[in-house]
Amino acid sequence: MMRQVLHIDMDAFFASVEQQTFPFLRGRPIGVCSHPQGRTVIATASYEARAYGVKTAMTIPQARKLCPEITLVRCNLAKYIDTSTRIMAICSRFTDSVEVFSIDEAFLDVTNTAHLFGGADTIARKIKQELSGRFGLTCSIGIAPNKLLAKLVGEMHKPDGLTIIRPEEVPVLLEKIIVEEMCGIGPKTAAKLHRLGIKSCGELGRYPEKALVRIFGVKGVHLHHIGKGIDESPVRPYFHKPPAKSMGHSMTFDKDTRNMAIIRHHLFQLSEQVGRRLRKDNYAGRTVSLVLRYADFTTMVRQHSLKNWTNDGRRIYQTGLALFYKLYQPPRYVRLIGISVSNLIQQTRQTSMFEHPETLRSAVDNLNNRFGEFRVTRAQNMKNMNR
Amino acid sequence: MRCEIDRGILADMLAVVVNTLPSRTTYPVLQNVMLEVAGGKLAVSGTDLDSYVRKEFALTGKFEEGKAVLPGRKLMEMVRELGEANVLFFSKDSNVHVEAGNSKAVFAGLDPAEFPEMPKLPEGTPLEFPIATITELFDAVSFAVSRDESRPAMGGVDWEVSKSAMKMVATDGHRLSFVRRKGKFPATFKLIVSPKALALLPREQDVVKVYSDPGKIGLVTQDTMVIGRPIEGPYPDYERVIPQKDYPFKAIVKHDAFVAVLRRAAIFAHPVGKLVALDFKKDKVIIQAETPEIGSSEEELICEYNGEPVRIGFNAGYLLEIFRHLNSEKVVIELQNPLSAGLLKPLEKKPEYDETFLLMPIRLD
Repeated sequence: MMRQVLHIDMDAFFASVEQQTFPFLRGRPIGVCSHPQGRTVIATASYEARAYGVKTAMTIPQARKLCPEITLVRCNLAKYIDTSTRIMAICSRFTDSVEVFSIDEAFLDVTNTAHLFGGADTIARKIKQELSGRFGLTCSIGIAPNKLLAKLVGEMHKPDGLTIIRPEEVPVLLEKIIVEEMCGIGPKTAAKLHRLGIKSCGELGRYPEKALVRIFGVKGVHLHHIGKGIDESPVRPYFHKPPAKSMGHSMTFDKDTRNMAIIRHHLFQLSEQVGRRLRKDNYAGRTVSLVLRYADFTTMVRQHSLKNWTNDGRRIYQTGLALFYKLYQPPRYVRLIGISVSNLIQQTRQTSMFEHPETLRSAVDNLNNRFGEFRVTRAQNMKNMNR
Repeated sequence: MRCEIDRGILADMLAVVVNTLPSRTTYPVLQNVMLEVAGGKLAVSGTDLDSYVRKEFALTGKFEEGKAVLPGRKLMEMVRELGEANVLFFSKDSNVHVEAGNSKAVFAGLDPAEFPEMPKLPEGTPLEFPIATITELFDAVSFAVSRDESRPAMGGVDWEVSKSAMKMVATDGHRLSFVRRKGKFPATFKLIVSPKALALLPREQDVVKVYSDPGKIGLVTQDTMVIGRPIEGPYPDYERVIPQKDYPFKAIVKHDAFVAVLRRAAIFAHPVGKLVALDFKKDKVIIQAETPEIGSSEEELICEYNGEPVRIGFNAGYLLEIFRHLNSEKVVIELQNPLSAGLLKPLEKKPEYDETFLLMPIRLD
């Protein structure tokens, strides 16, 4: 049976949510960013702002230059997560195969359920109707025989589009699509393909598979499939999520700094957050990596492997701090610091005989889950917070 | 330095000493062993700076006193590969020549002054213990020693001797092994000792002399001397977790049959955690394992059990390891509840010998 996959992509998600929350923002060019007064970048621009050329990841001065009347709105992640969860819940009413691809994107495999609702296109219309009625939000939907093509066609008519591609239309479509539009082909691969004289997906599909493997290795097979519009990857519901490979957090300082107390304080908080995330999903890791970006954007990464697996924030911090001292070149100013833990294993619920630091950590986690991040924290952190 | 020694004897001495050398070190001299001819004996010694070991052998032929420091693993590999019966060592200039029959090799030895000096034995009169008793107890507990460096005390074996019994305990917090041999012993002492030091005791010999002071412990036999640091305590309060009264759930299983079922179940246990569920019902236990991507298994085994039904999860690997150390046709498994330690012991006890194994469960919910 030919599969029927829907790709749902919310239109300018963060900006649209803000415009729905604050009606005075509707119809106006807005940009959502983490610190409107700070030095961050635009996370999402509304369609009104996009008309001026404002794009995601632009710095605020760049955005203001293009669109002087842009309103900057502080990002409210909790609100977006809450809306996203409710959107995904609506999607799950039509099939149990819902893959949350990102906060504002999802794949739905409706092969086995489409007939119950009058077809895949009816499901798409119902979802659009519901999202607009309940949240005032629009989305673009693509319907195709697999995830690759559903995402491709879903992005062809934005905003508020609905595009359906039938198997017989695929070859003609692929001739028109340039390789960089395909999910899975980044700028570097595209440039390499261009050097081989491959511009469109149709050309990629006709290029001998063996030659692609010789040039790209294992990825060659995948590229050949992309060129042919083949994608057999299943829609993975969240409960079949593949195991995580690493977990990390990073932050850009409000102001470039070389104040060790500030750097240590933030590194400590980031490490504690990483530890908490690891514990939440029952992971422990062995390799700690530190990222350091200086004011001139030069970025350095260094990692260290521990002898034992850990998910203890303090252990991660100590390792990260040691890496920092190895990596840091005084008196340079630091712009960003990040820490991540990889080489992960999933921990079991093996119980312990004696009192263990884990017991304390899990009690602290429970308190912080209830009362907010860093409500209970190490005294070391308190000292830094008051500084 | 000059001496001649039997190849097999030297290979055995090197095998023990090289085992002590650290596998990775920032201090390269520790990859070497020291050969020393003095007082009619050849001594081979090595250290990882935590434990020092020295093996001696009385020379019979001609010899010249002296010292040489050679790369431990290379020397051992070479000695193993030699076909001849005897190996001749002699130093010339700063090099050490090793010859056996037609094979001739020259090692660029290091300056012996660079080699860490062996610490002196703790002062005082040593206590003498039979090696057989120590190794019997050590073999039953060593598997449970923790490898977690963040809890150093559990990286050692808790060794306690009283006038009437010798006792050893090891635990990594998930499993615990407790053994006691009754007998007459010369004195009482209690310390946490590195498993590496006890593993070095030569099993073919009878008696070991134990020297100890707060900073050092020395184990001396006829031809071996091991000096190490006792591990700092306190050792976890294990007596608290060993049940003082009978457990409400008590099953008796046949050792070999249980192991066979467990091995089959372990194939389906998830590689992380190796969880198997034991479901005790009247006169039987059902052993289940499951890995979603692979499949599942379920097997029923007859056992002596007439309590309330109880279901508990364990790590199959840990459980099998404990059974490997239980030399009894039938094994007693006692349980308190699905979240407390399970207790395992042999049904037929060896005379004057107690052994108890505790294993913490894996939550099944």
